[in-house]
Amino acid sequence: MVELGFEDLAKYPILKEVEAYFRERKISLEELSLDDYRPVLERARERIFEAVERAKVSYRRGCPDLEIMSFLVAFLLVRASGSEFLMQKYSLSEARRIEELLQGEKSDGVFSYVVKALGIDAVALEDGTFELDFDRYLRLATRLHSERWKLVNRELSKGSVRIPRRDLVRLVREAVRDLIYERLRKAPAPKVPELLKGIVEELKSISPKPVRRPKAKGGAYPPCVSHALEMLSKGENVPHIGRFLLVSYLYNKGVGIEDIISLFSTSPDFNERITRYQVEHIAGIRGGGKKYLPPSCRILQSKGFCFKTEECDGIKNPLQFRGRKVERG
Amino acid sequence: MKEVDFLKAAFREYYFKMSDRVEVPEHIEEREFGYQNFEGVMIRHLSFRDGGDLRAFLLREVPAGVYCSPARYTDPTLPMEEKGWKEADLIFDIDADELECKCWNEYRYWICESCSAIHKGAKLDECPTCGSGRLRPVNFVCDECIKKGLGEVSKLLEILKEDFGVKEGDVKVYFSGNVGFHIHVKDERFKGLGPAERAEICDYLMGRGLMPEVLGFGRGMPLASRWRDRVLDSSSLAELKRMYRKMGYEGFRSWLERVALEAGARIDPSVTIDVHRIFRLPGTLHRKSGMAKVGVRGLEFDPFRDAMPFGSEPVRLFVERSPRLDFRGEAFGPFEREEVELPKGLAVYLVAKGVARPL
Ligand code: SF4
Ligand SMILES: [Zn+2]
Ligand SMILES: [Zn+2]
Repeated sequence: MVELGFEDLAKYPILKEVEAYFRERKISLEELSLDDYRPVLERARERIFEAVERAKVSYRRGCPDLEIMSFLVAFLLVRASGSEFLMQKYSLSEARRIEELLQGEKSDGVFSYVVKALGIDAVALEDGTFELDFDRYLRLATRLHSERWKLVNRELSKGSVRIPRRDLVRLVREAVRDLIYERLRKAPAPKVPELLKGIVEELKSISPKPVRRPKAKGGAYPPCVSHALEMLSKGENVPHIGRFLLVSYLYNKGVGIEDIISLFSTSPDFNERITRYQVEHIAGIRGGGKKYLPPSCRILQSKGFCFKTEECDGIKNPLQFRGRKVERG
Repeated sequence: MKEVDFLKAAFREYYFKMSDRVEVPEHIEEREFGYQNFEGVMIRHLSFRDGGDLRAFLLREVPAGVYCSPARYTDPTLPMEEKGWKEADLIFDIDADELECKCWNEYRYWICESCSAIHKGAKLDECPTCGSGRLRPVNFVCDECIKKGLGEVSKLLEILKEDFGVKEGDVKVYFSGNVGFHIHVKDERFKGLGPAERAEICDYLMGRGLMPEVLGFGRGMPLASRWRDRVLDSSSLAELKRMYRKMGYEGFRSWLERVALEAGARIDPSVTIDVHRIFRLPGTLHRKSGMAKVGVRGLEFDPFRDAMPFGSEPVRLFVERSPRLDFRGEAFGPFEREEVELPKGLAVYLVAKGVARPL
């Protein structure tokens, strides 16, 4: 059994022990108008702005009370804003903070405890690597875009995947992100006290406007493309195949590069430089100058990104989609 | 007698006398059923309370094909979005007639529905004899095809067992009733997985996306995978080095995928990935062969012996064309435009294949 100190709870405030900590202190949003809580409120607001601006929340060593309390307050504020964009962004950014702290975690006991608390049964092996069940691995790793995460490139034996510690921590990030996001979605909307209304309004205003769908020539989008756009406008993280589809489809339909890049600005892990690079690569402006066509329906289907409707009617590539059949006279 | 009536009578006899061979799935009330009638119409979104309910339906409708979802739903009769998907068994489909075989020359041809001319070779757009576009493919499978299919099955089982740790008792291998094999895996760890995770499993089984780093090539971080041993079983490290030098990273990578595909299992990934699919119900008959989808034990299989429920009472037929076929130790044919008397099992088979009509 590990002894968790306040500092540990401050680093990993997703642990259930934190709930007890809060229950004891009886914190609620109503009390936050009191001057005592000003610094907490300030730090909570800072956490959220760090999330929006840098996609990563910082960690202040040495003030566990402030860190723990501001985590919950930020959580409540994000929830109160009701913004899907903020919920996604905030979950990701807190997860990245925890990822970094875990990466540098000195205590093996605390490390294992946190990993386990996230529902990841990872067994530490003598050589410093870890083993976990393939199904758990898949649920977390399938959304990571690099090929090295493919199961085929991993050591899978008798149902267990063996991975180095830094990879385990990368998966933990995904688990933390899911956890915070799910908690946000399930939490009932808190009543916002008068004094906080200002902050909540401010938060609502920083959510990006709904994605303006670029007009592609030739009418309706195929279901797979619509699905990707839908995910983006909800601020959800579109898997690699979906991004590739979207960019190549829109570009081939004559939508400009800038319009395509701006589409991705709502993505929780948006990074303008990388996005621009990827988009330009697919468009054939960079790399080998090869302009990519959208993946075939068969490939999309095999990646689980086909959302076929009757209107797809035997087409082989999303580019062939014509939408509602026009009566021929 | 018309072909359809003949087949329907045979199917009715089967469901009447041998309905105990139809496998009633666990949690039947949570499964979606579908069937195809002899007019070729597909009806989905059905459900049955229990085995008796299902058998009564089979007798009443005498379907040409019966399908059941590997998935469980809260309400299987509702439209797809409202069914309430709970979980799905993992399934695989291995098509024996996609594995190139020397029998293709004899066992595959096209029959023109207009002038009944027979054409061999690649698919034609129209009949060279009469110009009609109504060409119907005919394909038989030989022992070799079956053996190759089973070879793929055993590769699949090996990887499932060694890499995924699937227990033998959780896997069931079936002959699909026509030209392939179906593998059903009842293992809790797979049940909740969605399409993306299942796609990863398929890629794993086929070695798709294997990186040169697994074999120690390339600039990326070295990776460990059992696929290293699988590749090294067929190519030596020296050969790999030579290929890498010759082809460069990207070229080597696609070459490696081809090598891996040989070592992996040739499954049809779209079947495994689609968690809403309905899949032929074990113990029911296949419209294109008259045979049943039956379990395969010990990876040794003879379709006419193990999957053809009809016996040897003689039936008179006119056969358009059929290759030589071994039916339960006796050779029949080849036949070409002739009247013959054949054991019922073989007669049903040839009529179902669309190359004969009962007299
Ligand atoms: S069939 Fe093709 S176009 Fe239609 S949803 Fe699937 S991938 Fe997209
Ligand atoms: Zn013809
Ligand atoms: Zn063959």
